[in-house]
Amino acid sequence: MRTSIQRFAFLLSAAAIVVLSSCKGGVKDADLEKTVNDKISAVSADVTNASSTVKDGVVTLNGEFRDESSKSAFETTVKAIPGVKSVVNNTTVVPPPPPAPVVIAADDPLMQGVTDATKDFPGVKADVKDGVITLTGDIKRSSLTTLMKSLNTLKPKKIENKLTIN
Amino acid sequence: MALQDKYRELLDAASTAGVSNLQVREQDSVLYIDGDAPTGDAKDKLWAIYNKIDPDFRAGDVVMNVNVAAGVAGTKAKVTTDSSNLNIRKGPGTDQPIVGKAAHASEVTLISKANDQWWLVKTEKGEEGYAYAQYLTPQ
Repeated sequence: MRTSIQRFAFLLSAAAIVVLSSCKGGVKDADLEKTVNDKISAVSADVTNASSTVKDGVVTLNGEFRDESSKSAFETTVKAIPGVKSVVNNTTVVPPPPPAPVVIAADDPLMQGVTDATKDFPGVKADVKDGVITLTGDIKRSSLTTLMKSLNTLKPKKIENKLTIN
Repeated sequence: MALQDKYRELLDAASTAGVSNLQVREQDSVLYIDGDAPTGDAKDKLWAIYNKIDPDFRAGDVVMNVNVAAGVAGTKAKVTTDSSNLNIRKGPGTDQPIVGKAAHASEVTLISKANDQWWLVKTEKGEEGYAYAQYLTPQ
């Protein structure tokens, strides 16, 4: 008698598990995929080569987003879809464009600027060639930073400091 | 990227100090650091770090053009020469005639910026002309 009750209880709990798990997996993978693809279409301006696959409620995303924020926002959107268990986000972000090249001042305005900057440092001689400022002569250590600050605003290619520092 | 590693402390300090429009570029083995510092004090600290990493600026591998974002007309700036008066000139350049002097530690009013080197200012005595920006510290 006891065994049959136990058996009945076991069957009942087993049935409950089946019912619960079928509720939990109530959304079919195919339906989920369609929903995810609709979401992808909605953000088509932010992403290229996007695709998704769904297996047992786990969504795998592929594609290239234009930036990190649109990528993570989309992951949040997909996670919020009812029936999605988890998201494997294999999408990437477009690398940023290379920075604009550094603009180097032409020698004439550069020389003019160097003349102005070195005026108060009579021991300093400065030459300019192809954007490179070459400093010779001598200067007090306490004045060096002041001079360098001025010269660095002139957009030189580089500054060769050959000064004798006292 | 090696230069960015060498000057990592400087670059980190620039970000922490709130340098805006910060641009860090490496080109032909020179690191170019551009941006606008929030204060003269912030700029001085960056120069102190630069001088610590490359003592006496001997390496020639950095051009740091970080200036104090001053700027709006009407801003007061203090004359921060070593001790002498600051020449006020007719135009932006040391070849221009001197039209006035601003006393050491006095305040001038910024009218406009001709460029990063020369600012058009008005002295306390009302003289108008161009002063060398290196000796002006926006207040």
